[in-house]
Amino acid sequence: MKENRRDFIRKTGVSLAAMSVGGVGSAVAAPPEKPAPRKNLSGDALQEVAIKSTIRIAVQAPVEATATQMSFYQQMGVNHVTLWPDETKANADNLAEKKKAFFAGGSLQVYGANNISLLNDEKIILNLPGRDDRIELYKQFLRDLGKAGITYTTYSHSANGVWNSANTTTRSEAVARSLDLNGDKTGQWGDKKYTGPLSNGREYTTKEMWDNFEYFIKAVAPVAEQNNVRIGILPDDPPVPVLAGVPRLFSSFEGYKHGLELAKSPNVGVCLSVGTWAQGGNKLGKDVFGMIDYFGSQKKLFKVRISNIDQPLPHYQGTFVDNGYIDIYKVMKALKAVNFDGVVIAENIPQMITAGGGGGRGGANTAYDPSLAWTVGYIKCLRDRAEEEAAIQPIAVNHKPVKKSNKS
Amino acid sequence: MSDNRRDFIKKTAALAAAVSVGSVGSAMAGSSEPELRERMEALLAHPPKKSTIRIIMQPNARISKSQLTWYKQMGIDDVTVWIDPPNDTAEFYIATKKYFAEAGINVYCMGNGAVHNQDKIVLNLPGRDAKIEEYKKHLRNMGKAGIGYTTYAHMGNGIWDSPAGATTRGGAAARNFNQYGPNNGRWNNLRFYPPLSHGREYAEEELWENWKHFMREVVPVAEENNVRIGVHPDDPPIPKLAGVPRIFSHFERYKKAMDIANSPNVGLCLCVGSWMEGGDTVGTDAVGMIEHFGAQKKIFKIHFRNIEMPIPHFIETFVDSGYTNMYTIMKALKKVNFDGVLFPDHVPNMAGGNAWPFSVGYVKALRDRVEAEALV
Repeated sequence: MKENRRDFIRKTGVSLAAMSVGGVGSAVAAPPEKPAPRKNLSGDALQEVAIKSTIRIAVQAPVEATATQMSFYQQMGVNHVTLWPDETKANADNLAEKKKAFFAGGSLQVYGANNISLLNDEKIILNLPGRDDRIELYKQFLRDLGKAGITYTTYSHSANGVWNSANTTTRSEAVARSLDLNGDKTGQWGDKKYTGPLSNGREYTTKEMWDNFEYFIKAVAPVAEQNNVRIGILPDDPPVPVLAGVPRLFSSFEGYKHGLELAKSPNVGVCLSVGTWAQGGNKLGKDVFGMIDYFGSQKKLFKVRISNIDQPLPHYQGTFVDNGYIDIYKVMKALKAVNFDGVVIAENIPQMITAGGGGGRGGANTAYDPSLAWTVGYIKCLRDRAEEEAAIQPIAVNHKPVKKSNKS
Repeated sequence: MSDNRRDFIKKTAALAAAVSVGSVGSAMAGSSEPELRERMEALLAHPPKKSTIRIIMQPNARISKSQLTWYKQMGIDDVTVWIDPPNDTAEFYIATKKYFAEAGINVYCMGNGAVHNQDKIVLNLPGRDAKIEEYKKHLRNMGKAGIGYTTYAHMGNGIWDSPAGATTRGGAAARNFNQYGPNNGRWNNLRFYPPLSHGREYAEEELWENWKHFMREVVPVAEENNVRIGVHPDDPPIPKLAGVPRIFSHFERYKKAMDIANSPNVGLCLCVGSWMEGGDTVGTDAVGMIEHFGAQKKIFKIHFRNIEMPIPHFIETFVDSGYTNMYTIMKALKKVNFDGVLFPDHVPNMAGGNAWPFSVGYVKALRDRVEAEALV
């Protein structure tokens, strides 16, 4: 686009010169002798701002994304992807190869990659037999990321996975997630399913959970630092203190604070899921905005996932980003206020109908993941607005600087 | 959604009651319960108004119902439908209006390709009267179907492109027009080529005479049938192409045309993309057009698209990627309390399929922002 603008100026200059000697154009009316000054070109300058945004829009791409998919992302103005390989593909060679492929296919940077198999790992989280082997694998994964030059990974620490009730529908019957804490619900991660009252065989204490986390994070944080990889910890989904006998550590502001203090590493921070955190309403110590403000100003916010819900627990339903109780524009403003320098990604997008063609004059053909495209469009606009507004008028940051507890 | 909100507030109140007796929640801090409740009550007291700036799609008259479900999922409740003969009957218009209404979608606009960009009307060629009669029939059909708006364009030799393809962001194929390269006009199956598309040079005065005649004929019919006509700019808005003047190519000429029409039922379908093609040659920019004609309630519909640069060589692009910041357009529309529809048209082709959702999402966010700002 920048190139285009330069071209524009160049071409306009050239064409005016050509016209002035009267030599070009056949069926063309004479242009005005002296062009009037342009009025509404403010967009040009403002969009330069958006292009340089530090709040970068990413999509979660298939590891084996096709050339078509890569072009599609690029056409949406997306320049970053995150990948979720399983353990068979989460090795250094494959990751390096994917990194190259995404760049070649659509100028896409791989912002982060995760090893699905090592997230929400019961052995690590509950200190089950084989824990050290799993931690070794995690360290190896961090080294592989380092070797591949991928500097970010998302981690989550829920021993009984992510919990849902039956899917529901939101605007015009689009399929969306839901969770009713007082109704039927199941936890899931990968192929594993969890149900109450005791998903993992017994009640676990918060103390042992913290001990296990400390053991894990102290083992992996130095490896993350050596390999220049940052780890962003996701909130437990749902963010309730205990579920089916297992405490959930990353379900409150205090929990996050404690977790990061234990890690004591500039390489360990937060991957904030707005939709998940919104489930907690005002029960989590800080709401979404408070979390962004606090951890963002410490530069502990590495990635933000965006989705929306109709209301907090005990019973929430997923909605489109424009239709929930969280104002996503305010999320963008909050991110800009702390100069967030990372990616935002759309998640848990209600599924739009994908069958059939749009048709019509200048119309559409086969729908191509319309839910993702629509949501990325919506979010990108809010990002652009937040950036442009910051360029015009700096946003007042209404918090006191937080004393850094990082070693660095 | 409003149902959801009401539920929410109900449940929140219940939740707040539960919290107040200390039975729920451990790490309480941040926004207090009264604050949350206040927010919810404010939502209930001021439910989000339906915006008067409505985003539309432009489907076929018999698009599948599942596609209409998809429109609604994107937040779209209105459409513009184009038909061609032999579907130019009152019965078809009525049935179409009903077909969409069943899916909860309002047909805001109906267009008829056979009475749009007609050289017979624009250049007073043989058969003009029959064409004008056909146009009147279109208006009467609209009246019978209760569809209150139609877009009209007055280009004698159609919309112009360059046959050499162009691409924009990410290699997406986009329409372009190069004034100094091979180019041609088109409408329906007709193609128009320089140097003279219609055999001779036409004088601008002739076109004004023809416009006057056309308006004299159709305005009473539009008024009787309660149909508003929005005139689309010439695309591109160059004063003359291939010997044929283009009178909807400048602010002053638009004003003159509206004066001639002299009817509350004749206004603009302002295609801001076409207008931007003109750069600084069209008298005032798109915002200026909106400020002037919008304040007069003369803007009935907006085509909302962006281009990389103005003539002599324009290339269309994604809404967020062109030389105009589309927020300024949306803001201007809100400022004049625009009450009509907005179509994010001419989206560059995207890899793998449907190009609309990205644009609709982006445009809806712009619309939602200016509405939210208007409340403050």
